[in-house]
Amino acid sequence: MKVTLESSDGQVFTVDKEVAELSVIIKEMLVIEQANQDHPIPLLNVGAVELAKVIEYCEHHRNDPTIDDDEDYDSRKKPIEMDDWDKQFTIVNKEMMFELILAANSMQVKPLLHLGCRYAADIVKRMSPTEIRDLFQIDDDFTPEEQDKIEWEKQWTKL
Amino acid sequence: MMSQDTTLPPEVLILIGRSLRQSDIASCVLVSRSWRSALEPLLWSRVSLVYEKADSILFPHPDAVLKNINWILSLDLSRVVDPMHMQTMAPLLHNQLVHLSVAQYTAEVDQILVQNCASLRSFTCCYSFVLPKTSSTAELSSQLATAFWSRITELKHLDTLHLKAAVVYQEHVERFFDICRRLWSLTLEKGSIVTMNPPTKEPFLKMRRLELRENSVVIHSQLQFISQCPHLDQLAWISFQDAHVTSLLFHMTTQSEPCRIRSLDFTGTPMTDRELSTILSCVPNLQCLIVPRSLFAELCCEQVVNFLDDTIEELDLKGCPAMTKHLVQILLLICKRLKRFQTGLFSPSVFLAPSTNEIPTKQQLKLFRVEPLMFMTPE
Repeated sequence: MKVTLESSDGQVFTVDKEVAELSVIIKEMLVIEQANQDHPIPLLNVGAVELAKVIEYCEHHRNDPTIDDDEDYDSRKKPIEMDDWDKQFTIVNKEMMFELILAANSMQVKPLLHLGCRYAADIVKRMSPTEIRDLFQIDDDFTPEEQDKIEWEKQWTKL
Repeated sequence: MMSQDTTLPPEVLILIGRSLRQSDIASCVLVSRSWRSALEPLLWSRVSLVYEKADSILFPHPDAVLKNINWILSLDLSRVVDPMHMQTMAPLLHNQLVHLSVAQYTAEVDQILVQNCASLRSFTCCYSFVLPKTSSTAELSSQLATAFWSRITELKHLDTLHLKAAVVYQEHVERFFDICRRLWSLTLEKGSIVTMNPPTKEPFLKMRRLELRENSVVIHSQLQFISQCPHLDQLAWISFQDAHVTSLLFHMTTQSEPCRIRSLDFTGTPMTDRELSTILSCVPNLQCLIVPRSLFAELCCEQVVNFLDDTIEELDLKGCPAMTKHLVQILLLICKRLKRFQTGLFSPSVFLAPSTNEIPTKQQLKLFRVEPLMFMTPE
């Protein structure tokens, strides 16, 4: 069975139902709107470029076993293994990868979200607060007093 | 550069933070207010207190700890010397700790255990039974052990237990095995256990990781215990004093079912080439072998090259006296999946500059290019 998805900029993609269902959001929408499947499903936060990439990911991973939400704190669980395809897939520029993370988050494609966050962690690793701010174009909204206080509170992490 | 409207939502920041170390999370907390509010709980979720020598070193500052105490999930108190700090913290921790690591089983630790009995999954205690200096009678020791083991039994979700210098008397044996049935990982170091031979044939189905280091317990009962862990993945074993490795050999070679163990660590139990190669012949799925100072020579090399070449990923042969450059090259050449390799005898330059008649193979070159740091230099 096929499902049509519409990106925020109006492009329509037709994919197999089980591919689309890697997105928790779409899966839930399909359950609710079973009768009304002629209309494309609108994805208001996802542009066509990102959606194409998300679909590419879902096509490749369509037969993967579903991972349960690892909300629980368990450090010894092995992280999801990255295969060669995934490694190839993550060779995109930073901007694209962050857009993909946001797309995966809004569509709730869990494995892609985890993959993207590991990639982002690798970039942020060992960066100074200023470098991170530059990367994400975030304004420093701390007062100098607050800054000092946090510095003082977190000094133990340098041990 | 990111466009202005693509700030990462808090749930994504937390996911990213989970793959970071505490020092990296600390940088993220200083980025902005929204980053701070998303990541501060994660920053304080794993805390290791270093309170040594009469307040001269206090990390993190006790006030900061108390302020963030609700976020703590994993707490290492093993380097807290002054009990005063524990006394202020202990009453504040309620069913939140998942990991706890302590130096001694004290009254404060007992209080923390009671208050976190529904959340704790992992408990480490370095000196489980240190008696008060004033009265060290055998009776008191037994009382303390009884209190200790009943407390451990109450930890409903415990699956990882690491004890140094633990004592299991006859009256605690049953309780001890009940606890073991729930465990995923058990480490016993320098303990004294009356027997490890379980009274029933009921297997320890959950046990995946077992470390038995220099425990004073009859070796045959240890082997009996190992043989009742059908799903064992990792085994580390050091014999106590002069108990010999022969019985381990006998045990491994006479098992009816093929052994599933993927990681073997015999640090501190040096073996001969023949002994070790016999053990290697019983573990067809081995991925990691740690055998410093053993006589890893032709027989072992032959086993690895012929039967483990598809599985072995890590070899630690530090201080193995029979290691030659020739054997090392054979191992590197044949073992396709090798990711870590330690010999301690050679520096990486030995491999990088082979003599003229030994041209480095593709396999060797690949290994160097991908991960040049995996060849550890001698300590």
